[in-house]
Amino acid sequence: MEPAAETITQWLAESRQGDVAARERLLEAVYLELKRSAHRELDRFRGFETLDTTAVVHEVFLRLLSGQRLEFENRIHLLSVAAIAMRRMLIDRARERSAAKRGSGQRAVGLDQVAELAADRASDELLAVNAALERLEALDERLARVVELRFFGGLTEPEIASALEISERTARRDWTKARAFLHREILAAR
Amino acid sequence: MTKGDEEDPVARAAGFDALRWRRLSALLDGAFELPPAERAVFLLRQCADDPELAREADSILAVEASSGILDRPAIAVAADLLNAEAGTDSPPDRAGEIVGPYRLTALLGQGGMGAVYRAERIDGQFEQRVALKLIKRGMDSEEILRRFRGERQILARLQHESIARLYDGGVAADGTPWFAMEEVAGLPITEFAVRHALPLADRLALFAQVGAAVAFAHRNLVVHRDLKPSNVLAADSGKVKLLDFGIAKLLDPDVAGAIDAPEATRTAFRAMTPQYAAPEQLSGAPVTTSTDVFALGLLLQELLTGRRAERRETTARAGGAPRGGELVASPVVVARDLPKELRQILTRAMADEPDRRYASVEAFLEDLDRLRRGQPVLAHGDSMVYRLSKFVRRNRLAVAAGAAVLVALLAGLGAALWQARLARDEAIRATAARDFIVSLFQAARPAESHGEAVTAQQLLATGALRIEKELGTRPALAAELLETVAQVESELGETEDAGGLYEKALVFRRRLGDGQEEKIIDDLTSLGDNRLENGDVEGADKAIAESLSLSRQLHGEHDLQTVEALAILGSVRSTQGKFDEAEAIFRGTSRAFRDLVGEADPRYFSEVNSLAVLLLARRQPLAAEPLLRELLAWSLRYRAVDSPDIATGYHNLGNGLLQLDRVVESETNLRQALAIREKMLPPEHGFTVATMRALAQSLLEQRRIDEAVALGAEALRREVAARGGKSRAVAACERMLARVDVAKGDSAAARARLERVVPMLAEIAGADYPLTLAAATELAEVEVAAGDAKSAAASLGKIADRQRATNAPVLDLARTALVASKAALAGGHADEAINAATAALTAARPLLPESHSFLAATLLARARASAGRGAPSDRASAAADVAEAGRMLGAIAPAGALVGSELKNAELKNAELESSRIAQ
Repeated sequence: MEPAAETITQWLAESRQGDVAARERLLEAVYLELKRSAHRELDRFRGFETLDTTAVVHEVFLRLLSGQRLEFENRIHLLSVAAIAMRRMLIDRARERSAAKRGSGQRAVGLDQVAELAADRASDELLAVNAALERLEALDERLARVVELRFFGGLTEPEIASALEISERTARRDWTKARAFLHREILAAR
Repeated sequence: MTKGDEEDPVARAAGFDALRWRRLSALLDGAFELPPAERAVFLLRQCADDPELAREADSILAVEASSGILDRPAIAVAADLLNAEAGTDSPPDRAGEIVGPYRLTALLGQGGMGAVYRAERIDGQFEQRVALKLIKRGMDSEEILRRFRGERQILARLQHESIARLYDGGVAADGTPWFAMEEVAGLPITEFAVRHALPLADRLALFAQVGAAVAFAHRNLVVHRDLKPSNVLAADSGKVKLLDFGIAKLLDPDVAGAIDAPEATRTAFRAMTPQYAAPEQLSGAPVTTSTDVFALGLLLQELLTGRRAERRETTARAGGAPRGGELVASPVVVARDLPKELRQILTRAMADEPDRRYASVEAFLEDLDRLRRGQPVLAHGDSMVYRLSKFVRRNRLAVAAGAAVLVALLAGLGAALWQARLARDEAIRATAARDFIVSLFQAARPAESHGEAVTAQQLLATGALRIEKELGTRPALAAELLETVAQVESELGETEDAGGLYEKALVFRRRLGDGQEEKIIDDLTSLGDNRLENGDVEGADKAIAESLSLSRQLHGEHDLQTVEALAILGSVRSTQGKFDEAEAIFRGTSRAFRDLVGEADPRYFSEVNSLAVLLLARRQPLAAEPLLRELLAWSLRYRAVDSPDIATGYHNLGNGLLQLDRVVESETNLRQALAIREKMLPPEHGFTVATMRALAQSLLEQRRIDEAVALGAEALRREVAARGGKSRAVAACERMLARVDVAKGDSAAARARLERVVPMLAEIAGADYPLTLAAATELAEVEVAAGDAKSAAASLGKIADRQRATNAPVLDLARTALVASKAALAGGHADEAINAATAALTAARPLLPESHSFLAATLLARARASAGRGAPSDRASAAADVAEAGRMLGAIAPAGALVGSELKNAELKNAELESSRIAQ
């Protein structure tokens, strides 16, 4: 059952005021819609690597809000919720795949197996990012948030700055630092 | 922290406490602010007490420049994952069914075109296992079968060890077209390279196999049309096999004979993979061998970088889903983290227009082979030269040899190491070069230099000597190192030594013979540049003539090396006074660079700069000003703080503004330039001296004479100390100081200076060189002031003749006319004086802003001549001239302060009074 646009707006307002339950409900709604949208987008752009976060998130918002306009602060908040939902959705998928792979154990490679291999690689990569990000979270919460918003949520620098109430310069600096740290961690873990 | 911890990133991260992370975090922030070359030293300095932390930070900084997973959005990373899951609702497994003479035994995979099964022959003729491809329903089976029969012979002939054989084809009972092919075991080539962590050389070798197979097919008139990693498999043995050769054409509804296929089918089943398609495939233009060249380029890039090539967004995306027939090819983004030559090769292979790609796969492979064989590793690495010179510059006073030096030096060599992986012999060469440079710096350790500090320049000079002595048996290495040291010295402004080094490098290169042409061209161009900088115009002309003709022979006109040589030729022509030719060359080279390397490239910048500087030299400040502003904006946008290009931008704009009499703004810009140059360059660098001189001039124009004298004298001192008493720069300083002398009323001193300057310039640059003639005009002016009007008048006539004959800047001629006017008046020829001044005004007004000190001075000269004639009408026109001059001087204050002082002259005061009376 999809919540009505008014409900979503309501949850948004409550979530912004710190209502954890509202935030969870919002997250769930975005998560479900995201799963659907990602596939729709994917079908449209099959073969192209033009699949981008903004397009997918935009479609999610369109559907959730039935075209209602959002004021700036609400939009930013929804975007940052979408980033978390996106992370969950993608990591869940990657985990499922990784578990299935371990289960089957075999790795027959032949003609046209590339899609399967690519999927394995994608799930390994995502899980590696997630693991490194969890390490960063333990060290520096804000840095990890910046990565979540940008990498998973597709937020721009100004959007990240307003979401976290920091300057754009800081957002940029955080990203540079976090990106290098994570890449190093991912390389080291290989 | 124990050793064991270091190997486990989780444990290592957990080992961080909050305090330690904060320190690391701050350290990283500090380091990111710095250019990469300076970070190693910064870390050492900041973490003297904690080398472990420095290592930690260093390992993070080390990956900053390389791209990684996080550079694409997560959803793009996940695309393959989601894609595979989306594909699960695909048609059922048909294993067990009979298709033609085969039984399907196992599903191998599903793809966009259909499914692939392992199959066995069942008609008992012979035992054969094949891969059988079932094409998706919906395609025109009859047509495909018809075509297959047509092409069968051709495809059967396609026997090559790297091409999977096509055995048979037909239509199954349910109407599905199928093809039976050689079953190939292996990994997609890109996956294979990643799995085995292949070094670059091996990847290139792998690619060469692919290229050879495609070239073979092309000779047999078969174009693949759908080359992509999944069609290029590599077996454990390292042998490559290409799949699906010729299939794409059979399936392509656009191929003639299939025109009646329904519209929807045509686009939906065009057999290609958009991600790997060439622009002509997406637009429906004819597919040729060039299409495979494009796809090979994409494949190579993916093979080298491990990432699928990025394709820039196009309008198809912006409008939402691309609809049938509206696919738009997105240009490929060439990976930035590949070496320059590889990027150039890829750019060529993946050009949008087929005509601009390699003419054949062979040509593509040849170019790669040239890169592998001949291209030197060390010398071409701009970034290494940049880092090394930057390092040396920062340590120019004394190199305190030790760990810091070696760390920074090795960091500088880091750029070369990537390239060193290109091929083993290249790697050996790079290692030898590194060892050699390290040994140089070790020699600079206090113990070995007997406790004396060694300057970086000394180090370089010693290095150059040792290269010749110790590496004579290894000419390629010797040449590379000589070129590197020469480039570093040029960067440092030690241009005299650099020229000799290029000459020596050329000797080695020529001795090496074949395959050295490109380096010889580069060396000749650098040598020409260097000679020009040292005032050897003829030598420069000769070097450039040779490099230009070699490059034209080798590459033709539209080529980087050719354009680079042309750029120097432009400067040579400009120095020779052949301005129109120079201007034409600069306009051409700036266009060519923009086409070849884009507007963000420094070479484009440099050519626009040359053009602007030429316009300044031609004294057309109004035309130059917009270019100068564009250049400054460019360098502020593309360059790091304190970059030499930013300094140049400020300097030239300051100079242009000086010519425009906007002295205060000019001073601001020149001071910006000087601040950077004093910080970044050796004090006696030619650029620094030039800015000091211009700034002195600006101060003089503001009548801040003491400051102007001090600065001008210091500029002269540095210039003489560094490059001796004879140079254009010395002449320019002397001319400026002569103006100071005049301003102070010491015309004898001014005359003495100019009497030295004119012959000096004539000797260096020729008697007809514009600056020689301009200085001669100034000398005549001083002579007039000293009461020597007669001889001045005679020489002024000659100067004007030469200026006209040599197409000197119009403003120079106007100044000669102004001085002639003064001389005529001093000789008692008022009419002549008025005419000359009027001529000067007429010539100068269109080139200058409305109010300008030169115009004011000329008006005053004419006023003086008119006043001298004394008729009432003369007095009125004198008054009008004085009034206009006064207005101008008011408008441009504080510029024109020197000219303004002339207004104090008694006659002019009278004329001024007269004018105020007229005004009432």
